[in-house]
Amino acid sequence: MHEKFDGLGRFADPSLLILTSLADGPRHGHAIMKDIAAFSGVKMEPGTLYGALTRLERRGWIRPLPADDRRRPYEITGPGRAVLAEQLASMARIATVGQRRIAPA
Amino acid sequence: MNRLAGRLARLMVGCYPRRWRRRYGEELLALLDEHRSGPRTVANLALGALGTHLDPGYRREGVTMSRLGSAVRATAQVAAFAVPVILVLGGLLALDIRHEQQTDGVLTADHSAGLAVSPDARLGVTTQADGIGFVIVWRIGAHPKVLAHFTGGAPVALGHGGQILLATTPAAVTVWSLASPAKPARLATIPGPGQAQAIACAPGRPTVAIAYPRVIVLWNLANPAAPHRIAIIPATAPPDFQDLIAFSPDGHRLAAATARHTVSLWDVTTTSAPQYLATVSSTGPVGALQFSPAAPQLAYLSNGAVTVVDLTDPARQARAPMPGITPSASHSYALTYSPDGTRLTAVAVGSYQLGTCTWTVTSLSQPLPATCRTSHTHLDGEITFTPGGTTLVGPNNHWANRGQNPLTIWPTLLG
Repeated sequence: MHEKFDGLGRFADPSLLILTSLADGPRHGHAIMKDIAAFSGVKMEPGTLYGALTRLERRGWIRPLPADDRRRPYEITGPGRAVLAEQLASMARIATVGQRRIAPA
Repeated sequence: MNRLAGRLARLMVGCYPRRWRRRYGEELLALLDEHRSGPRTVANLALGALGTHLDPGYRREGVTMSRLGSAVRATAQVAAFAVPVILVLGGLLALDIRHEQQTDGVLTADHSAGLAVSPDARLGVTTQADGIGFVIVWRIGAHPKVLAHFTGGAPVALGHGGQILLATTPAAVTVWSLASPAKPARLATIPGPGQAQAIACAPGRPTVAIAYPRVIVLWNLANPAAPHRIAIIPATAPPDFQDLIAFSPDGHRLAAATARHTVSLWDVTTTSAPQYLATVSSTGPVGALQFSPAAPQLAYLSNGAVTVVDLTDPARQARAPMPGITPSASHSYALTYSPDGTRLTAVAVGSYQLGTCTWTVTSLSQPLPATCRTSHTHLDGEITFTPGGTTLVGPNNHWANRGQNPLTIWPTLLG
């Protein structure tokens, strides 16, 4: 895991999913949950979502946009996109090694 | 089960730290409206609330807590989480908890950034942040109560006798109908060149003035659902307009405080062609502006003193200090004239102290006779007078309110 992500503790996995969702464009909380369920099968709960959103916003990896009525969309920032790219590259390397090692000899 | 879980999930939002709720509470509640909640949701929110209480970013919410040892502090934080959870569970089993009561636990009026009160002092509107946060509509009186809340921020203003509300978002001013105050209906959006700094509704006219950093825009809200732009008043000189503008009681004059410590005046009798009248200088930031209802006078508060300007000759001014009031950016100020225009009353609130002064302003050629006093107060935050100055309205931070600071009428201050 990328060291910056490591600092997110138990919110590392939800944060990765949220950043991946927002990489496609700004979304509000419920839309993020639906998108994550669609592309990963993970059913994220509101408490987990907002715990991760709080930390991502504090780190400057996402930013809130003006609210649409009561719903507030978020968008990924430049640093957030960079961290996501590093983390995905790291995971891709792990996946490549792992697949090679479990492949039949 | 789902209904019970839904209720419990909403109540769990109230277990998050207050500062967190101010930032995220409304949008989380909006999410829960769309989410199919179950026991897992409730448990997840309970863990989230506990985790947020232990989050260093939300750990220190009060001076008292910072003085405690770390072990005691941790215990207190867990207790701060656990006690509401236990009370919520017990309360849910015993009571049919209504939606209004659920949201009361989330919303507070403390540190209000904006305040508006209907002329009859029956409705109040507070906001918790500039341009973003909650707009809260209150019933005020003997039993203050939150009637409704929605996303928006300061500045706010009430027009059409309290029938419409103007609130600010970072990109626009929104117009709301308060015909049913418990169910505000959005009527229109007024775009602008940035975030509004101040809003004023002309008494008796459908004109609304919205101040932005470089311009004031006049709108006709005869039909609040279809605002019509009338005129644009540019700043007389850079830099910016401050967050104070005011119409005269007849709606024919407009005053705006500027960041240059001046007050500019326009004649807006013909709203489509505002006429610049004059600019007067103050000795510091202007804390309150008020036109006389009976005489061609404008009063403003600045630097712990009131200045009264003769509008027939703006060079003619009288200035009087407020004894016992040390100017402070954290203070809130309000000004009002008596209905006959002969007396001017100023109020300053801050640090649990309330200072009031009343001056006779029938003649500006002599020093203004004053009656002043200071006293302890539970008023805290933005304050405003109702038209005629009979009542002062502001949040009440008495300890018994447990931080809810209901918007309260303070009728006896003027003596």
